[in-house]
Order: sequence, then structure tokens, then C-alpha cells
Amino acid sequence: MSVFLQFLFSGLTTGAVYAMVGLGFNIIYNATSIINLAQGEFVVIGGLMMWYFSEAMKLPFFISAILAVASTGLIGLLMERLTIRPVKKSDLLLMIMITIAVSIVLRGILMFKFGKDPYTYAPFTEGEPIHIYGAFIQQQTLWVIGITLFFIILIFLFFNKTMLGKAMKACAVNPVAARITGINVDKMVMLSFVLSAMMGAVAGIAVTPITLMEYDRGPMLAVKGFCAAIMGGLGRGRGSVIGGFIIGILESMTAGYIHSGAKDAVALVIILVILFFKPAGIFGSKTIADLRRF
Amino acid sequence: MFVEIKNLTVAYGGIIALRDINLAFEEKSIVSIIGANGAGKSTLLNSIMNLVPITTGEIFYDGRKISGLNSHDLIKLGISLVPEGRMLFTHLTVRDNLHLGAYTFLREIGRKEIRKRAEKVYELFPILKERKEQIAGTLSGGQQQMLAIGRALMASPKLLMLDEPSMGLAPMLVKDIFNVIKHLNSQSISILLIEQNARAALKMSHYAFVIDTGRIVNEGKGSRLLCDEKIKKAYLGG
Ligand SMILES: Nc1ncnc2c1ncn2[C@@H]1O[C@H](COP(=O)(O)OP(=O)(O)O)[C@@H](O)[C@H]1O
Ligand SMILES: [Mg+2]
Repeated sequence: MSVFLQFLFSGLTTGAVYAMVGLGFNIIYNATSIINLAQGEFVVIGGLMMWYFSEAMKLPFFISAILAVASTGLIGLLMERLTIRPVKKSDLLLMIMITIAVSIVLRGILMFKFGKDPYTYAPFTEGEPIHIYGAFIQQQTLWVIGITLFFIILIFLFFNKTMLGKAMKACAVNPVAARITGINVDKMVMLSFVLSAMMGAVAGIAVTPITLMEYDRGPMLAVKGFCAAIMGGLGRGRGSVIGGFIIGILESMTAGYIHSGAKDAVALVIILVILFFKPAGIFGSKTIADLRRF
Repeated sequence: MFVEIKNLTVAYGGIIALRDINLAFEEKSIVSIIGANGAGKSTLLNSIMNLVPITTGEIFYDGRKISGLNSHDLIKLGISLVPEGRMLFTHLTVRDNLHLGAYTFLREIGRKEIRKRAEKVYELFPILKERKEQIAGTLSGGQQQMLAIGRALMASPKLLMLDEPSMGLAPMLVKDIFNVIKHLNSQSISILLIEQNARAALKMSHYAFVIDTGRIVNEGKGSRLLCDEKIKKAYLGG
């Protein structure tokens, strides 16, 4: 029982990060239909920038966190301005390839600036791990899960209760109609990249004290976050959250009960199964043909 | 002139959809554009709304040049389009569709004023009020058309352009829609209307243009065109 619980807690932690990455995918997908495969890099940048501001610059925690989120948001903005906007009228597959290119470039810059070593910093709160039925749960794990849940609610409220969020959703439902009603589609696209980058940064900041962070974590995070997003059906926030937690838990159980080397295969197997049984489901009911003339 | 289009040419790739169009009309009138399928009617409205790039030519509205302005700027100037096929946000509720119609004005006028404008739309189309929580895609055709018009009205337009608003509707509903258009015009909104139902459109229009394969081939008062032999033959069923 205690071993199982231990695996469960560790699964919830990584699952929370996957859920956040999945949400990030959804934000951009919802406004543009682009699958942003640089999503994982946002998480890495968040964690590394947090280290930079709090450990290298010795700034206070809150200021560091705000700066880390803001700078990652800025990178999201630059990405949209410099790589997405100039080619936005061309086809979707090209744009997805551009996001891969961006992720490679970002990784290069990160390696150049931070090297290949893993980074970490102190957990948000000091204190003993909490005992539950013989298992340990680190306080930082609670932070990660708490922050994830908080942001899930925030994103939900944003898209369903605010005009700005609804306008963003409208761009996804029908970009031409959005334009006709005077919604500035370009602005919404840009905003989706900024928001999504900031989401990624938050996840990175929260998880780095537990899992450490290094320059090349991005692609794996992107794969798992993408898996979470398609498990829930792309574009559905709540689905991707559940998907993220499921993958996290399955991975941790696989690592614990089968072999630690097998854990990264879990997400890939899930993706393959979805591709095999529900290929159309990946892009939802509206298929690539309909994708998107924004 | 309220709206003036000079030497407008629009091409899709190599295909010329509008050829050297010149037209103008006065404020507060109902102006309709009739013509066969594929004549270029939608292209004309879409180029006014800057949804398709124009090749050459200029468009003036209310004394200023508007060709080249973004759609969201055009809405702010008081130009609204009810597009062909309605183009609702089918996944969102009726209320959200309406509110988004005034999205560009959110900062200027605030949510309260937006709700007030929605109330006005509900007065015009009471059925929409009953269904305001319903997902737009689940409405009947007539209700969707009302919602599309309502959404355009949320921007408080001075010029309302409607692209085949009666398409696919039962005759009863078509009459309702036309009555709404007349009512809106009586409230000083200028109407630019595209209609397949040419007879009905000409009857209520102050002025009309006839487009054939990208060119304006005839224009005049609605009442005159109704009696024109050629038009009778081509568009009014003999
Ligand atoms: N997006 C488009 N791409 C290419 N050709 C188009 C497009 N839209 C319209 N056309 C062509 O332009 C011409 C005019 O179309 P349209 O303005 O829709 O006519 P109408 O509204 O009078 O039926 C037609 O020949 C049509 O095939
Ligand atoms: Mg048409």
C-alpha cells in the first residue's frame, strides 16, 4: 500500500506538469489550430529563468517568479511575431514544422546559456515531507498539484466567463466570423502564444525543485503534453488535464512495477493506440481540410 | 454619397470576380444587389469588409477612404456584415454570439452597455431571448439568421450589409426577415442587401444594382428595375 501510494504521488506530480503542458497546447490550438511543439521548451525556460533570477541574481522568490513567467511570455510573443505571423497564411503542417524548428533553436540557446547541467533551487516552502499511510509526500508536490488545479480553474474561467477568452475561442470556432465581428484575430493568436508560454513557465517553476531542469527536457515534455491533449480530444481543456494526470500515474506505476526504462514508452503507446483506433479524433471532428484560415 | 466604390477590381488568383465596379448610394437607403449565382455579389460585400484583398480601386464611406482598413476598424466606423451562410460561432451560446458582436467596443462602452444592446436585439427577436443559453449551432435556420443579424446589430452599425439573408428559409420567415430589414432602415440604418429573391428585394429597395459576371450591367430605382423587360426575364422569372 505505501509503495503504491508513493508511486501515485510521484505520478500526480509529473502528471500535473503534463496537464499544464497539455493545457498550453490547447490554448494555442484553440486560437490557431497549430500544434506548438515548442511547448515543452516553455516549461524548461520557466524553470531555468526561475533559477537564474532567484539563485544567480538572488532576487526574492515572488519577483523571480514574476520575472520568469514574464520573460517566458515574452519568448512566446517573439516566437509568434517572428516565426508564426510572417507565414500565417500558409499551410498548417508548415507552421507545425516551424514550431519544431523554434524548439530546436530554443534548445540551442538554452544549452549555450545554461550548459548541459541540471539546475534546481529550494522548494517553495521548507519543511518535512508529509506522511500518509507510510508514503512520503513532499510539500513541493502539493504546491505543484495545487498550482495546477488553480490554473485549470483560472483557464476555465478565462475561456468561459471573460469576453476576451470567449473572443479567443471564437477565433478557433470560426476565424472568418471572428474577423467579421471585428475581433482582432492577429491579436488573439499572439495572445494565445503568450498565455501558453506563461502557463508552461508556471509549470516549470513549480516542478523544478522536484525533478530538476535541464536544457533538453522540452521534447519529452512536449510528447507527453501532446499525448495528454489528444487523450482529452484536442481543444478540450478539462480532457487534457485528466489525460495529463493519467499519463503521469501510468508512467510512475510502469517505472515502479515494471522497469524505469519503460516509462517513457507509456505516452508513445497511448499516442499510437489513439492514432490506430481514433485517427480522426486527434484533430477533432473538423479535420485538417477545415484548418484554419485565420 | 454615403458609400462610393470607384473602379473596383477583385481577383482570386487569376480569376477575376469583379471588374471595374463603380457604384454609389445615399445614406439611409435600402440598396440591393441582384445577380445570378457566381456573379460576384458576395465578393463585393466581402471586399468592402476587407475580407478579400482588392486588386485595384478605392472604396469610400462617409467621406473617407476605407479600402485597406482592417475589418475591426471598419466595424468601429459602423459597417457590419451579415455574411453568406451566417457564420455563427456555432459552439457558443446565443448570448455569447451576440456579445461577441460588440467585442470591439468592449473597452469603449463596457459590459453593461453590451448587455443593453443585447436587450435591444432580444426586443427585435424575442425568440433569441428565450434561447439565449442555447448553443447557436442547435438553433433552427430562421433563428440562426436572426442571430446573425442580431450579432451584426450589436455593433450599432450605420451601414448594415446582408448577404442572402433569406437563403434556405421558409417563405413565412423570409417575410419576417424582410420586415426586420425595413424596420431597421426606418431607424436610419443604411442597408446594402444581396438577395436571390430579386422581386422582393427590388420592391423594398430605393435603389438597386444588377451584377453579371463581375460587372454592373444595370442600375436604377427599385421600382424602375421591377418593370424592366430584360430584368424581368433574367431575374424575376419572366
Ligand atoms: N475564395 C474564392 N476563391 C476563388 N474563387 C472564388 C472565391 N470566392 C468566390 N470565387 C469566385 O468568384 C466569383 C464570384 O463569386 P461570389 O462573389 O461568391 O458570387 P455570388 O455571391 O454572386 O454568388 C465566382 O466565379 C466564384 O467561383
Ligand atoms: Mg454569394
